[in-house]
Formats: sequence, C-alpha cells, structure tokens
Amino acid sequence: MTSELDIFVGNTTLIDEDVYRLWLDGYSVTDAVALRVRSGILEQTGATAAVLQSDTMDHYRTFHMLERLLHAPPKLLHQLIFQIPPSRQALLIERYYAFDEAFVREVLGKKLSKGTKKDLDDISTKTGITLKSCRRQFDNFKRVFKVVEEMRGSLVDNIQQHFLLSDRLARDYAAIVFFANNRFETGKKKLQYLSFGDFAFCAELMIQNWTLGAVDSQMDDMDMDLDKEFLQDLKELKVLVADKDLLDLHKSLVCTALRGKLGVFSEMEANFKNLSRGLVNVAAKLTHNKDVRDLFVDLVEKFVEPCRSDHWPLSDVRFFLNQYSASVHSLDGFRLECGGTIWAHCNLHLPGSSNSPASAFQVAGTTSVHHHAQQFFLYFQ
Amino acid sequence: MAFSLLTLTNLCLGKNPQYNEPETRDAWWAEIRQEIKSHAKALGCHAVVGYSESTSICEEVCILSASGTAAVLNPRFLQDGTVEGCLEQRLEENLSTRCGFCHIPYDELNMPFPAHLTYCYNCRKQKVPDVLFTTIDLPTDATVIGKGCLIQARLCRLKKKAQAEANATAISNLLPFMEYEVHTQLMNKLKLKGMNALFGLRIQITVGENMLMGLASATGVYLAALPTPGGIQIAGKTPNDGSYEQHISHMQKKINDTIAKNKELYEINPPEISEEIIGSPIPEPRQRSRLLRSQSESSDEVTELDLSHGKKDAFVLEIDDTDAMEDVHSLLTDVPPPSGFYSCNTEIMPGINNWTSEIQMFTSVRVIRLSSLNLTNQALNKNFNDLCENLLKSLYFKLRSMIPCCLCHVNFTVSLPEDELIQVTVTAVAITFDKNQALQTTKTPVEKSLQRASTDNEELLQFPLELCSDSLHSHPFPPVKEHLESASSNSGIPAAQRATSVDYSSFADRCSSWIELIKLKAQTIRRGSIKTTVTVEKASPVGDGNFRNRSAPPCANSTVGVVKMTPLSFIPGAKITKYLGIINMFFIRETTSLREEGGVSGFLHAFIAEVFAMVRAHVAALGGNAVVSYIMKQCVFMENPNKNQAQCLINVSGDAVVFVRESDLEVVSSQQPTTNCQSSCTEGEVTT
Repeated sequence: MTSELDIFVGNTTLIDEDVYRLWLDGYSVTDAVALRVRSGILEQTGATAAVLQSDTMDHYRTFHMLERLLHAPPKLLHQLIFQIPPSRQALLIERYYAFDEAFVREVLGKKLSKGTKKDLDDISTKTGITLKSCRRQFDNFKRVFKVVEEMRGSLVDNIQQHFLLSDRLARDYAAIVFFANNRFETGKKKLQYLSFGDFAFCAELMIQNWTLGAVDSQMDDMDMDLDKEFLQDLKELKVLVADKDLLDLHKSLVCTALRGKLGVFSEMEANFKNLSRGLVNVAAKLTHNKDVRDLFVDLVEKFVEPCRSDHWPLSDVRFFLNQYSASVHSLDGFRLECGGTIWAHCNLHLPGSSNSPASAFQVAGTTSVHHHAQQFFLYFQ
Repeated sequence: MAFSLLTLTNLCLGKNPQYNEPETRDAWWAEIRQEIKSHAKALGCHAVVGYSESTSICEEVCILSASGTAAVLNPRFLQDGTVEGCLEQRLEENLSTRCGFCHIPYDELNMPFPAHLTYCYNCRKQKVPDVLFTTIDLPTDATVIGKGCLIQARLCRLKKKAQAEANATAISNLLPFMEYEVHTQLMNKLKLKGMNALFGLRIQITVGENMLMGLASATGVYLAALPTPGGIQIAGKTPNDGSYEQHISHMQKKINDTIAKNKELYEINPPEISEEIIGSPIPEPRQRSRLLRSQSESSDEVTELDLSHGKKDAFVLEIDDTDAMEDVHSLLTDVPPPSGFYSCNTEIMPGINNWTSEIQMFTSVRVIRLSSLNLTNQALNKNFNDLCENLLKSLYFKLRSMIPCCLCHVNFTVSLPEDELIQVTVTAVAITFDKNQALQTTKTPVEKSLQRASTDNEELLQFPLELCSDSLHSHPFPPVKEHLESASSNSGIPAAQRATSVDYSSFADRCSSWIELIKLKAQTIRRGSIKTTVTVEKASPVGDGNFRNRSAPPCANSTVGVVKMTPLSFIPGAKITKYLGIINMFFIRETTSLREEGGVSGFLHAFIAEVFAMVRAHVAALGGNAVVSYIMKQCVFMENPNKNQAQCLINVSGDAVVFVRESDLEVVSSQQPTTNCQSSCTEGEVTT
C-alpha cells in the first residue's frame, strides 16, 4: 500500500507556525519531520510518524503556493485563493522577510548581484544557515532593493508600504538597502566586532542627515544616495587641520572645555592633532566613491583604534566628540554657518545595549561613528 | 415518528451501455422506489424519511442503491407543515414524551422480522427495539445520554474480473453478504461503544474492476428510551485447548475494558433501573440478542448460534477462523479520537450544544495504490481500514488547534478510479465548542436559528437571477456565472427539496449534456479568473502610510471579505437572514505539466483550493457571506504520470446566504448592515 495522493484543503488555510519556521529555515520535508518528531509532538498529540509526514507535506505545499504571493505582500492581502485571517497574513509576511543576523552581516554592503549569490554556498557553510534560507534572505534583500531603488519619499515608508513589514523590520531593510546601494565595506576583519544593529543605527542617521532626502524633502527624494554637494563641501573642512592657527585654536577650545571632565585628558591633549587630522581627512576624502566605501574602515583605523589604544572610556569619547564639534562653531571660519537648530541635533542616541561595560570598546567604536556622522552634518547644515 | 431502517440495493445491468439512457435507468429507479415503498408499508409505516439514492458505475455495470427510514408521521403535525410530527394516532397519549420516535411502528404480535422488544425506558408503555438504525439526523427532542461518536464499518471484497452479465451476477452474489457484514460490523462497533442507536446511517457500496468496497458511516448515540446494550461475548469453537482458551479470555478482557473505557469517554451513565419498575410482561426483556458473524464464503454459517456458553444478555462473537479473529482485532484497533475531539456524520453532535462560531470546513483526498500481487480479502480490508483510520487521525492532528471541537457532517466518499487505486474523499466541518458552558440545555441558539432559517426558507429561496445580470460588470468570474445560471435553471430543483430527497442521478444525466459545454469553456474560465484577480489587485491599491502603526495589523484594510463555508444547513452562533440561491458548479481542470506543479498532490491541492476560492468569490459577488449545505458531489481524478498528465472534475453545490452574528443582531436592527466585499457594492441590497 503506497500513498499516491494525500491532501487536505481547508476553507480557511491552516498555517502551522512551527512548520512555517522549518520551511523558512530551508529544511527538506524529511528533515522537518525528523525535527518535529524530536520536538516531542508525537507524544503530545498521540499522532504517528505517517500522520506527521503527511501534515508536513501539506503545509509545505501550501507554503510553496504562498511563496509567489509573499514576493509581493500586497498581493497576499488581495488574493482570493487562500482565505487567511489578517493576523496570520501579517505573521506570514513578517516571518518571510525576517533574516538571520549572521547572514545579513555577511552580505551587508555587498552588491546584491548574481556574483554575490554564487558566494552564498560559502556563507551557508560559514554561518550554518541552510543554503535555501540564505537564498531566500538574499532574494528578499534584492527584491526590496529593486522595488524601492528608484522610488521617491522616505525609504522606510516605501518599504513598509510595498512589503507591509513592521516598523522595526522596515528600518532594518532600509539600512540593508542603503548599505547595498553605497557599497560600504563591512566585511574587513577590523570591522568584525560591529554587529548589524550598529550598522543599522549608523545607516539610519546617515539616511536622515547625509542623503539628498535629508537636505530637501521637496526634491526628487533619494534616500538611497548620499548628497554629492554635501560631500564636496566636506572638503573645506581641511582648513581645520591645514591652517595651523585654526588647529591650535580649536585644540585649545576643546581642551579648555574638557579639562577636568575627561578621565583621559592628557592622552586626548597629546593626541588631539592626530585625531582631528584623521577625522577631517576621512571626511575630505568622501568625494571619491572608493573612499566612501571604505568610510567605516577608515573611521575605525583613524579614530577608533587610537582611542582604543589609549583606553578611552565611552563617556569620554562622547564628551570629546561633542565638544569637538561644538568648539568648531566658535571658530572664526565657521561662525557664519552656525545656526540655532544645530544644537538640537546634539542629543545623541545610543543603542540600548551599548551601556554594558563589557562591550565598552565595541561601543566606543560604534558611538564614535555615530557622532562622527552627526559631526559632518553639523558643520555644514 | 416511529422509525425503522430501510435499505435496498439493487443491481442493474446494461448488456450494451444501455443504462446510460435515462429511460432505462429511470425504469430501474421507479422499481427500486416502489420496493422501498412496499417495504415501508410492510412495516406499518406510511412515509420514508432521510431517503437518499446513490449510483456506482464501473464499466457496464451499475449499482443503484436507495436507503431511507420508514416512519409514521403524525397527520396532525403534517398539516402544519412541520416535520416535527411525533406519533400515530394510537400513541397519541404519548405526544408530549420524547421517546415516541423510538417506539416500534409495527404490530408486536405480527412482526415482519424477528426482533427483541422491551418496554420503553422512558414512558414504559410502548415497546421499543433494542437497537435503532436510522438514516435521519437525530430528532431535536430526543433524550440522549452522553455524547455521540462516528461509527464506521469498512469492508472490501475481491471479485473476479468479468464482463457484462457474468460480472453483474458476481456482484449480485456478493452484495447480500457485504450488506450483512456491514451491518454486523456496525452492530459490533456500536456495542463496543456502549451505545444503542445509529443516526445518519449512510452505506456506500462502490464497485470496481476487481473489487467491491463497502463503507458505512453513522453516528452512534445512547438513547435513554432504549435498553442498555449488552456486552460482547467471545466464543471459540475449538474446545479443550488451554492456550486457546487463555487467548480467548484475554481477548474478552480487552473487549470489556474497551467498552468500559468508551462509556467513560462518551460520558454514558444511564440511570440504573431495577427490573421491577420495568415490570416487563416479556419473559426475558434484555435477553440474548443474536450475533451472527456472516461468512461471505459460506452462507450456511448463518444459523442459530448455540448460546449455551456465556452470558445470556450478551452479544456473542465467534472466533472460529482467522477471518473472525481479524474482525475482533479490527474492533479493538479502532482508535478513539484524542481527548477534546468528537466526530459525527450528523449535522450536530448529540450531547453538545454550546457551539462557538469558529468553524473550519475542509476537504481531504487520499489515494492509495495497492500492491497488486496476492491480494486477499484480509489484506484488502486491512489496507482500507488503515486508509480510513489514518485519514481520520490526520484530521484530528491537523485540527488540534481547534480543540475542544467536533467534526460534524463527516462525509466519506470512496471511489475506485483504477484497478489498484482506492480514493477516499472526506468533507466535513470542524466546530469549536465551549467546554465551560452547561452541556445539557435542550433548546439552544443553534436550534432556534435553525428553525428561523427554515421558515425564512420558503419565501427567499427563489434564485434572484436578475440580481446576477445587474452585477455582471462587477462579477469576478463572468464565464463561470453563466454556467451557474444554466445550472440552476437546468436543474429546476429548489433547494428545499434538495435537502430531503432528490434523484441526483437523473439530475446528473441532465447535467452531463452541458458538462460538454463546460469542457469547451474550461479554458476560458481559468483565464477569466486569473485576469480578474489581477484587476482586483490593481483596483485596490494599499492605502498609504496605514501600516506604520503596528498595533493595527497592516492587513486590516483588506478588500477580500471572509466567506464561510459549511456542509451544515446553519451557521453556529449566527442567524441566516437571506438566501441568495443555489450554487452548483462544475470544474474541470487538466494539466500536461504534472511534475512541474508538484505532482498529483500539488495539482489537486491547488485545484481544490481554487474551487473553494471560486465558490467564495461567487457568493461574495452575490452579496453573501456564507455557503451552507455545501457538498462536493463529485471528485473524479485521473492521472497518467507517464505522460505527465492529470485531469480532475469537481462538482460542488451549496446555498449562498447572508448571515448575521447573533451577537450583532441587536446592533444590526438599528443600522443598515454593509457587506465587507467590494464587488458586491453595486447590489447594495443586503438588508435584514
């Protein structure tokens, strides 16, 4: 007796969350059945392995049919074939577009092209995520990228509207798309300590402050691309380090303000010129595409690493950068460009996790990047 | 009403494919109906209720069968037009009691067949049989103890391949034994469950090239008016064998345990009644009911059993050969549904009244291929049994999230599409019930809504065709609609009749002519549906920025209205406010890329999902929000994996209705209800 055909169709489509997860994780039916058996479902329900097999097959078939709709989530809402309650639809979409941190860290900033897709085998072996799941996640990134690439308006809103994702997930996707578009290098060994959350935070700030959309919301809004003019303007920062008087003046302003407040004051004082030079040079180079890509590498090399070698605590980094940008405004060359609104932006947001002392160094790096991103902006609004 | 079961199976043969002509077959049907009527008369009844007819065709042979329940209807009630009539004149004093329908309709002294009668446990005045088999749903006023359960008898018999007359003779020879066997199985399983009545009995005999399949489904209950069923007694024929005796006693113990367990499971705790109160003039009231295991091979076995061993009031099961041994095993291997699950094939489960509105209708199809070598009856039986049991188990597993729930109107259909293939199709609805509420309230909202709906029935049943043509431009599936119209006009069968007894076969004959028409248009239907789906998507862009707030799910503004489907005639917790007409649709789907579509399972899965979707879309387009009395009449599936091809024909029907939640009723009365389906906006006349 062999089973030729075995199906179950409900008027309301049954969705089993556990099986859905297994399917998304790229397990084959056999593996999924084995995993479900191990989860002890047979004992709980008194079912047999054959029943489980048929149930899993059924769900997989349904998911397979749903997948094409999930590629364009609004379609899932308006199709008539599967009657699914709204809460379930939302769950299907959310889960389908969820991604693994480990995976996204590997492809972040890479071009979402066929070439990268070929490397998914390696990523799969490295991260332990099944190839199927990698492909799904990669295709999701690519799909979102393609849809919102040429679109006006806020990147996050566009993603939410076209993929019906939750706010959090849409923000993450915005970061991924932004990184993919600007091809920021994130894979270097030096940057390995940064998590996706750190990059996503930077991306959000950069989208807010550095892009065309940030400059003028009326314009053809491109949240994806950096504002070329702004980058061009950054070149003028060079005066901060090139003009010796200005450099000294800046240093003295910062030092006066921070005296007694920093635990690493002497190191700061000694290193001020180097740090300032590093920061300004990174900023000035951003007109070249290649240097834009290396932004994070450069920042870590030129700023985070010197700080780290001097054992700066996180709070000091914050103080320094605040003061560093604040002092610039009182310099002659910049006074005119100061505006009242600038200060409003100085309230810095730090990721919640960054307060734990264990990750102080990691956070130091992250925060500095955050600050820095703002710094550039503040000078030239 | 007083009931007595009537079943009749007749074999008809056309030497040339004559039976296909409606006249020939109509003549056969007339004869069968006449026979049913005369049987009813012989039982002292003047009506047949719960009547149904079915046909099974294989090559040139065709089995026509009809079954129903002979009944005595109370003329006084008949005039009122209700079917709630209770008793005939001589029992009129008992009108108020709830046991009238159990009383025997025939004369006690002149019984048409041997039966064991007792005084009714309820009124103590009239005689009742010890078991009751009926094809009708449980009367609403019946007193039931505990819960009911689905009872199935399954049977396969091999037959030699033969042609024409010889084939018909072979089948004719097998049929009586099969029927007897099916009844025996039903009886044994009923006893094993500790119950004494069957409702909704449906026996289906399917004929194939080289085998006959019998499947009987019914809902067993414990009626308070009938006597407590005795146990099952096992007897061996080979005496003086120590180990054998031991084995027998072991089996006996197992059976007794099962009965006790079942009584507990189905909450059967009948009140103890002492013999004096019964005061029976019948010498031995609950005396020996005979059980005769039929041997389809040797009919001479059907003789009186020696009941000298064992208890007098028990059913005796003789295990004298492997065949019987296996039967006992199969009795014991029937796994009860998991806790919190009940199943029945009647509309509602006796003993459960507090339904919630959470319903899930489903269709499940299984096809198994038998290994063709050395097939024996036993192996065949086992395969078939496993198939049905596994199917049920898998349903229980799949619907476990709905517990506590009950599978209602479980409808099994068996077909034998090829030599070694058995196809079983199940359509049922799972309804969640509320465990906490009192279970024994007799008049439930469900019943009330049922009655209300049935009175609404008459005036609203006319199919509003003009409504269709009005909404043509907004109709999601224009080509299908045409067929729907033709279907309803061709059939000319009002849904009211449909519910009781309709000659489906002649209906099918008439339909077959336009099946051809549909075949031609099948392609168009498919294309049409895809096209309109796309336009619907385009027409309803997702609102901007509505999704930022996660507290409100982003899908809240979905334009697709929910359409409920159920094989029952009502929707629990809701009132049907309007009948929009009968839906009767034929679908034919063919594929030449079977592998690419995920094999046969993928093909049929997608097809059935689409059939549901099309029915829902129809109803939505008519302005309705539910389909009741849904039935899948045909599901013919053919495949040719070598050619990568498969075909499937599906015929479904049901009534499109508008329902209003009972909880919303008060609100609705003050304000105009609006349908949530865009496509129905043009009609705009969905009022209460």
